Amino acid sequence: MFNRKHGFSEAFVRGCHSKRLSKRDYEELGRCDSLEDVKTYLESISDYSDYLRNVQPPVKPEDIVACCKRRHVKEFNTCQHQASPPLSTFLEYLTYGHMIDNLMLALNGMLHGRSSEEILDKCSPIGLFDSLPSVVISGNVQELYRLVLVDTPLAKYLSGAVSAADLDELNVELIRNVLYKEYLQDFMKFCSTLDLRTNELMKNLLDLEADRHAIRITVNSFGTELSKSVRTTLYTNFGTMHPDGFVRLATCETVDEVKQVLVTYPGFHEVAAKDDAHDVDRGLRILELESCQRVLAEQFNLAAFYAFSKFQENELSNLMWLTECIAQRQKSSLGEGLICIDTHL
Amino acid sequence: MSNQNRLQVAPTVTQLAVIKLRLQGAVRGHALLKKKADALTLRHRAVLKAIVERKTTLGEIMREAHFSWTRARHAGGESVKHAVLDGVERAKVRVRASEENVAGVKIPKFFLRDTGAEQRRMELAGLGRGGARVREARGAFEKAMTLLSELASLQTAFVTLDEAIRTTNRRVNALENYVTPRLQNTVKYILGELDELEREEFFRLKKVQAKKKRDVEQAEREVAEIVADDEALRIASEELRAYDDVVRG
Repeated sequence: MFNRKHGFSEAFVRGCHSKRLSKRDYEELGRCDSLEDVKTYLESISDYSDYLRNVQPPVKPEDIVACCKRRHVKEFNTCQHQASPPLSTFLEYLTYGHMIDNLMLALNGMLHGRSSEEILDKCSPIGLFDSLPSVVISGNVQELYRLVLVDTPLAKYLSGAVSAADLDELNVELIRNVLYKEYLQDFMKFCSTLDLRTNELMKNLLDLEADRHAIRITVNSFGTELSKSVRTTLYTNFGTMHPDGFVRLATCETVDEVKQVLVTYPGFHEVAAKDDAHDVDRGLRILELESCQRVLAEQFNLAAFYAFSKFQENELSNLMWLTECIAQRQKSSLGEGLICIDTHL
Repeated sequence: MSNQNRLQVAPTVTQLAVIKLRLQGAVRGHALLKKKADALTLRHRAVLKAIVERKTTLGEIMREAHFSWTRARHAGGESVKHAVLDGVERAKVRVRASEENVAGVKIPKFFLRDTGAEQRRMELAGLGRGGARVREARGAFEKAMTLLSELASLQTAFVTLDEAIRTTNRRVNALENYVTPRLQNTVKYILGELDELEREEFFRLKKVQAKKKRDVEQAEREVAEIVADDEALRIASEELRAYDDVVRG
């Protein structure tokens, strides 16, 4: 059943996935001394050559990252174009995260009177929705709210969380996180309508994502004016730590307290043992990618597409870190940001 | 030789007084300027030392700051960059310039001023992802900025001082090697001329005196002649009268 409908897409995704940069590639790239070397290496080993061909020296980190991004977008779009329900809906859900970012970008840009080209230029192509250009051109926050409500899939999140009047007063970052929370909850709901195995796997992944969202908000809100009650409203209504873990997170005031909360959960035990606050974030990412890796080991489920997109994101951030490290001659810090989960089983 | 290197003045006593006054002024000005040049050089060296010190640390700090921003972007993804860019409403720090006075040279001095701009939007940038890193980067850049403003003051001070020292030294040298000797030569010249004049006057007086003496002598001689003539006349007349008496008598 699954294969008949989504077999090709899955095969495509797996094919793309096998071309992700491996641990060995990262090691080789880490040995490069200049971005020209990186470019040459990337051209020689992977599908990047098509994208890198037009990059003129001097190579900048952004160029390489942009190439990587273009490649990912192309992979994703190919996948999306041939998908049929329920995979197409599933993939659409994957774009909502980018869509939220784009929407916030548009909102922020409009509040600061930026031109529409400028805003559209910054938007992520994966999260583009048809009415985004018209939203941007409208140049009015109220109009934006109305258009988003009418035209985009984000409407149900937005209407539930914020009213039109709040839009220019509420902090954009708050809106972003509220929307993201609503999105996660909705995604969870959608996954429960899918087949059993997908649901099971996705529940694990989304639980983790929800925890991660909560932990990140908690850690990042230290030292800001974000009140604890507002913080609580940003937490999702599910997750492995839901509900009492979130209640305890809400009262945390230092990273150490967060760690104490985390220690009590077996899944996060290792993460909590880390010293630095940033290591916690990194640990969570590794955890996420590892579970994605496990998901990819299985066949005939939609969760593989989610895992695939996460690996795409990871590769992007790895490449960005790597090129920046090389460009700024900080190669000693290379290990700090790279996360290599060997994708080849 | 001294003729060329002096002022063209009439060699009079009043001019001498004027020139002497000017010479005095030049000497005093020279001493003062020398002192000023010394003070400026001292300051110049101190500034140079500070610049070298700052510059060595600046490289490291700027690198740190940029890298911490890379960390923030890495942790927060692209969206955090735009959130930060759009989150800025008003500059949080502004550079203000004031002036400092070193030995009469005005040196611009820059310092950072917190405008107290509300950073409400910024505060939560990257709440979902990488907010802590963004704040770290902000701290790092604030540090770098303080250092940069210090360096900017020092650099401008360096250039200004350099310029000032050069003009002062030029003036010192001009006073020392040109103005003062010229005035001195003038004084010498005037004194020489005055001496010459005095000698001439003396000579003239002597001449006048000699002539006067000669005149007096001649007058006396004439008087004596006249007297002698009178006497002879009287004698002659007496003799005539005696002759007449003899003739009549």
